[in-house]
Order: sequence, then structure tokens, then C-alpha cells
Amino acid sequence: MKKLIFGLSLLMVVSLFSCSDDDDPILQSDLNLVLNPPAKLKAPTFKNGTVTVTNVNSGEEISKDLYGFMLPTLNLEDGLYNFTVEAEVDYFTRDVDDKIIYATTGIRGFSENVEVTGGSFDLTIDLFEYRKNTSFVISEIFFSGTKTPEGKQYNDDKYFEIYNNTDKILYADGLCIAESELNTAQSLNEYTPDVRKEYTPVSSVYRIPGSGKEYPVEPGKSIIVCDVAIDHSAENANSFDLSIADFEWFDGADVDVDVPEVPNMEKIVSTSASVWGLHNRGFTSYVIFKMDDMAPEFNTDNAYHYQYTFVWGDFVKVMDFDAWKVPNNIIIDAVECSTISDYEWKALDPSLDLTWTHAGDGDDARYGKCVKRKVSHKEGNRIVLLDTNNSEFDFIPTADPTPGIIEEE
Amino acid sequence: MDLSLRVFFNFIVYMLTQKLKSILGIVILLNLTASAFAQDRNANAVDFEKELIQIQSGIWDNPAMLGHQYNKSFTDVSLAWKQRKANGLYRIETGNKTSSIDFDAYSFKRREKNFVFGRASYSKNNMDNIKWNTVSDYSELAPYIVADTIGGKTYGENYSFEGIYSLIQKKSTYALQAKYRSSEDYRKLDPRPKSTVSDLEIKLGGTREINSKYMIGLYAGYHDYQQDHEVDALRPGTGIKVFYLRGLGISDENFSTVVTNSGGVGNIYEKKGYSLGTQLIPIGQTGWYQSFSYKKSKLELLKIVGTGYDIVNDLDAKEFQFTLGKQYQFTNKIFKINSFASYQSKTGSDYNYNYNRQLLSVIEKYSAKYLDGGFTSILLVRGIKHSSLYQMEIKYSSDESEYKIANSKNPKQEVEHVTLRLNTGRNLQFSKSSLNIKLEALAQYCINSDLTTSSLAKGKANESLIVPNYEYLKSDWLSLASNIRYDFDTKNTYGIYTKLAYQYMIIENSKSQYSFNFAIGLTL
Repeated sequence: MKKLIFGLSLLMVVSLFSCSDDDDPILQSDLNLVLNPPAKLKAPTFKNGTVTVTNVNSGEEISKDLYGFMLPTLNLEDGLYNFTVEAEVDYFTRDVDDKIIYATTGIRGFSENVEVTGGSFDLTIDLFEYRKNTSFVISEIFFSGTKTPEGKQYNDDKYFEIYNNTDKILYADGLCIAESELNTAQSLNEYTPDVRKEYTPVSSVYRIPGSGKEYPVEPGKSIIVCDVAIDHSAENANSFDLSIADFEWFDGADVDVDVPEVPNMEKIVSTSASVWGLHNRGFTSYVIFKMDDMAPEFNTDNAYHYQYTFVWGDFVKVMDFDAWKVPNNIIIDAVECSTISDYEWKALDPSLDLTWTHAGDGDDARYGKCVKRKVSHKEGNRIVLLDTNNSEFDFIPTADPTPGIIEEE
Repeated sequence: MDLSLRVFFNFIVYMLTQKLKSILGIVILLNLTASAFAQDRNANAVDFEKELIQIQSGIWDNPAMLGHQYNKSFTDVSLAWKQRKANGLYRIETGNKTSSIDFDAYSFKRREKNFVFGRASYSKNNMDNIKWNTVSDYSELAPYIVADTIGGKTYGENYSFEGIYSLIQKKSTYALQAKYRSSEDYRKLDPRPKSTVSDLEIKLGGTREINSKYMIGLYAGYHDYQQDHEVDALRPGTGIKVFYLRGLGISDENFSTVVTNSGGVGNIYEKKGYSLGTQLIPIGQTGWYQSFSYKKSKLELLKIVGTGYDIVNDLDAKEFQFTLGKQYQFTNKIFKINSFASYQSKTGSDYNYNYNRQLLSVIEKYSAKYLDGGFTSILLVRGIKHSSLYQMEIKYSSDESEYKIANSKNPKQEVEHVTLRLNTGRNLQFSKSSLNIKLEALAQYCINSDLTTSSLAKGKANESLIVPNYEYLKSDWLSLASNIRYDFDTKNTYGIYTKLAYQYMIIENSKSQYSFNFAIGLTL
């Protein structure tokens, strides 16, 4: 009997040994968020706004209404976060007659890859004024190419469509298109000098020729800029006709195909010795700006040297690169591109484009798809495209390309 | 230990250390086993009475109980063709059709001072229409599955070896058990996951007679599991999203990525655990029996980054199992009544990093609980020319899982079932042959279910994974099964048999499922 009791006692010991409390609370930190209004606004009064907090690790999004430049303490799970602020403020300014008036403007703020840990955390976000575009806008970017019916990649049909979103004739002469040097899918460790607030680092710049009035674009009309201006559907049933293109970028007869009927853009600079191939998965971003005179000194005046520290396990190396930089204040329009799976950071300053858009997710769904700007409204017969400098909102991701056609929705 | 046993155990140890994956090894092992144990042909009776044995599975967890598990020596070698096909609802991650060719050889030998059990098996299988899963051993690793939405057909091979040596010393028995399993699963089209599994379990057990009527047992086990997993794509230009799932369709945004022909993903699943158990059984054929076991394990999912790795998730699991029953033996009847209960809890943690791979936080987010309990009774009536078996089981089970989100409603799934099982069998002994016939009816009724989905679920996981699985889990169904085995004694030294098992499942509001198992075998 004693042995039976011993056996049962042993069982009890095992039972007790195995019991423990499983309900650990979720680790959280209190976030104190302070918003700095733009310095150039006089006596701004907060009107309304929203802050959106995105957990980078889980994808969870939290939106909170704002009632001032201070936010009540926000309780967040420990992790990596992005913050986006959109608000309206009233402020004093002067009108055309130099009279002091009370006006309303949109302001924004952005802060990304913020590590929220440690129980409490303070974050200050500098807000900037939202600028309205009154010129050309990029209406479509087709960067991923297509696949042939045999399943092979086809890259010659990449293009941009640029739209006159105003009610007056604009001239495409001197209009430049540039691809960002920085990659939205690779945040650079100890990146320096970080010039993104003032400049956009670029790897390629191509310019539409002309002396100033050679290439008019009517209100509500667009131009197409592509690599090879032919009817690609003849070669690839999954592609389309780009013989309607207005300009080609051409990188030299030894590496590129030239269609003589279509004028070529001027190649200003490029880090590529080969053909300019837009990033196939959409990890780079694009800006357009005006350079009215052919500027041979762009190469030297706008040279940009930067470095970052590459870390791969125990391997650490300082990396040096050369590119060029375009002042943000001359940029007419900008579109940040990335993918859901790979986005890590902004290549463009948030004042140029607050968020980003995408075609597919770096997967096969991207082929034959573009990013396309949404229609805002119509003014008479003229379609006005949506342009709030916020690509996630302004663009249709993974859209069907329609080169030369602006579709009413 | 005689020479053949020594060779047998040396060979098992060799298998474990070298991870030998050769069918040749199985054949050699089989020959050694067969030559060591060939004599009484009791495999037919063991097969007929297996429910009588399985009812006390908690006892047999202790390898030192081997001598009480089987009362006669036997050897069974078989080659089987198995297939399962779901025409309607099914578990999305494991596919709707499974086919396999299985080779299985096992042998038990009773000796005066020791007992020996050996088993070797090989399986070549494939699974069709798997989605949201690229790993092997789904149930071992869930919810931390690396998933794609394209899916496809998986091809696999599985090898397993098991050996138990049990030594009797006066009123005590000591035993060592070693199990090793190795498998490889892969797909032939993009995305191409490939998993290689190595799974080792070692147990030490003992029993001691505490009086003239009862003995107690104790065992301790160690479990070491590893799955090397990779997903690649070969087609130029392809890009396929893979999700690192965290439970209920929610994925880790930082680790989830796109696999291209120039870059795949590599992972390691590591699981280590231990188990402890106590048992009480009657020395004779009548008396109470009881078992209690506790198992604990920790699983880690490691993503390979360069020459190192990052921990993506970990999963702590605890399991308690308890049985209490009484067995009776009359002149030609054995009756067992059994109550059982088990409880399993799992808690999973998410590891969050910044883009420089610095760990920011480890947060316990996932929890799952499984509970079951019920009663089984079984009656075996033994005769000279025929035996009969009657079994009834009623079981309640509850299964719930939840993912914690700090600022919104937690996604959650709960399902409660009641299951009723009726089983009957008849064994007929002829002059040179024997026939087993069994019929089983199993009905499952869902008494409660609830699902809360989350907008955090990615890639249409709610529509194509969470909801279809939930519909399958909460469905009521009725399964009817038959199992026929015919043994023919061709010579005095061995016999042959054929077996056909067929199961048909009627699922409410869905199409049916079926499975069959056709085997030919050799008894020594």
C-alpha cells in the first residue's frame, strides 16, 4: 500500500511541476506624440486631423483623430512603427492686395521605422505644408514589363504617361524624368549625407528636347515616354501598341533599339552603362522636373556622393556610391513606388509624396500591370486627375495599362 | 543479449547517428529482425485485438510496459497502397488527396528475461492541392507555417525506425526505446518548397511490482525534432509571395517576402521536448489501471539570414494525458472500461525586428487550447473457432485558438464536438487460414463553434484559408468503415495475408470523403 501511495505521490509531483501561469500580458509602451507645425505658417490654429500608426511587423493600422498639436498618450505594442499625420490648420497670411487674411491649408507629417519599446516613448514629428500641383502629373508608370505567351519576361514595353492636369497649354520642352537612386526596399544603415529633405537622389535623368515651345500639350492631354516605340503586340500578344509614343529614351545604338520616327529624349546622366530599365519589381521612384536649358553642367553641379554601412552578419563594410541630386523645390510631380512585402523606407521626401503605390507585390501579379493615377473629377470635357501628393490615395495599384487613353471612371 | 539482438540494436544506433535513408537499410533490418524472431504467427490476432490494446495507449507510452502490451510474439511485414480523397470540405493546408505506398515491418519477441520490439517503415507519398502550406508535418508546426497561395502537389518519402529493449529483473522491468524518423517532401513546380525532417525520440522506462496485484511504471523521454525548409523558384522572372503565418491567417509582415529565381528563403524548425509519465496496472488480467503523462516542448522557427538566423516565432506546448479504467477477464471474455482526458495548451511568441535585424520585442501573441475527455468500453469474446469484438466510445473535445491584438478585437476560433464511435469485429479461424472482419461507425456532432476573423489576415487568407477550414472543422459528419483481413498459412514458417480497409465519410452540407488501404503482408 505504501508503494501505491508513493506512486500516486509521484504522479502529484509531476502534476505540480507542470503547472505554470501562461497568461503573460502583451508588452506595450506609452507613446507621447508631439506635432511641430510648419515654421512659415503664422499663428496656426489646429482645425482637424488624423494620425495613422502602422505596425511594420504585424501590418496593424491604428487611426486616431487629432484635436491639436498634442496627442493624448497612445498605448502601442512594442515594435517598429510608421506614423502618418494629415491635418488642416488655419493661419494668417496676406492676399494679393497685401491684406492680412485668415486662410486654411493642409499639413502633413511622416515618420517611419520608429522603434517603440521600453515602456514609454516620446516622438516629435515636424509637419510640412501640402503643396498643390499646377502643371504636369505622372498619370501612368508601367515598370514591370509583360510576359510573353511562352512565359518569358518582356522588358521593351516599359513607359511613362505624363498628363497636363491644368486648364492651359503646357510645353513638354525641357521636361525631365528621373529615377530615384535610393531603393524603397532597402533602408540604408548609417546613410549619410541624408539630403532627402532638400534633394532627391537620382540615378538616371532623361530630358525632353526643345527650345521651350516645340512640344505643346493641350489641357487634358498626355504624352507617352517609352523605351521602344513600336507596336509590341506584334511581337508579344500580351503587350500593347507603343508606336503612338511621343518620345523614346535611347541609350545608344550598341545597346538600345531606336525608332527613327519617334524623337529621342536627351540622356542627361545615368549610373547604368546599358539601357535604362525601370526597376522590374517597382522598388524605385520617379520624379519629373523642368530643365529648360540643356545643362551639361548637371553632371558636376548636381553630383551626389553618399555612403552607408553594409552589415551582413559579422561582415561590416562602408559602401560608397556616386549619383546625382535634384532639388525638391523644382520637382513638379513625384511618385513613390514599392511593394507590400519589401517596403522598408521612403526614397522621396514625404513632402513630395506622402506614401507609395505598387504593381503587384514583387510577384507574378505585377506583369502586364501598371500604377495609374485616379480621376478626380471633370471640368467640362477635361478630366482632372487626382493629385494630393499621396500615391497610396492618388493611384490605382496593379492597374491595367492604357497607354494614350485617360479613362473616365 | 544474444548476437542477433546485439546486431539489431547496433544497427538501430547506426541508423540514428547516420540518418541513413536507404531502402536497403530497411531490408537488412527486416531480415535481421525476422531471423531473430521468426516463430509463432500471432500477427493476425494482434491485428484483430488492436483496439483492445490501443484503449490503454497511455500505459504503453512507457516502453517498460512492452511485455504487457503484447502477450505473444509476432512479426508482420506488409506493403500497402493507401489513398484518401476529399470531394468537398477538407483541411486546406494538408490537401484534398493523399496517396502512398507504405512498407512496414514490425516484430515483437517475448523471451524469458527480456522483450524486444523492432519496427522499420518506408513510405512514398504525394499530396494534392495543398495550399497555404509549404512545410512538412503541418500539425507539429502550426500555426507557424511558411505559406504560399499557389500551392500544388507535394511528393515525399518517409523512413522510420523504432526499437525497444526491455529487461526483466525480479520484480522490476527496465526498458529503452528509440524512435527515429526521417522524411523529405518537395514540389516540382514553382514555388518549390523542400523540407527535410529528422525526428528522434528516446525514452527510458521502468516498472516495479508494488504488491501481488499491481505494478507501477515511470518513464522519461526526450524528443529532438528538426525540419530544414526552403522555398525556391526556378523559372526566370518569377516572383511568388510567401507568408510567415502567425495564426488565424495573420502573417509576419517583416519576414514575409517574395521568392524569385534569384532568391529563395531558408528556414529551420527546431523542436525539443521531454515527457514524463506514470502508470499503474494490474499484474493479472483483472483490476484497475491508470496512466498520467506530461509532455512539454518548445518549437522555434528560425529564418536563415546570411550565415546566421533570426528567430521568427517560438511555440511552447504542454500536454497532460490521463486515463483511468478497469479491466476484467472472465473465462473467455475480456472487458475493459476506460475513461480518458487530455489537455494541451500552446503559447506562441512573435519576434519583432527592425531592418537592421536588431530584436525590438518578443510578444506572446498566440494561444491554443485543446481539451478532450470521454469513455470507452470494449468487450472481446474469444473462442476456438471465432472471436468477437464490441467497442463503444463517446468523446467530448474542445479546440480553441486565439491571436492577441492589443488595440482591436482578437481573432479567435472555437469548436466543440461530441463523437460517438461504435465498432464491432469478428475473427474466424479456419484450418489453414483466418479472417478478420470489422465494421465501424463514427459520428461527430458539433455542439458549439465560433469564429472571429481579422482584417490583419493577408492575401485573402480569411476567404481561402480560415473560413474554409472553419467550415470543415465545425461540420457534422458520419463515417462508415470496414476492414477485412484474410490470413493464409502457406507454409509452417510463414503466412501471407491481404487486407482491405475502406472508409466513407458523409459530411453535412458538403461532398463526401473516402479513404482506402489495400495491403499484402507476410507473417512470421
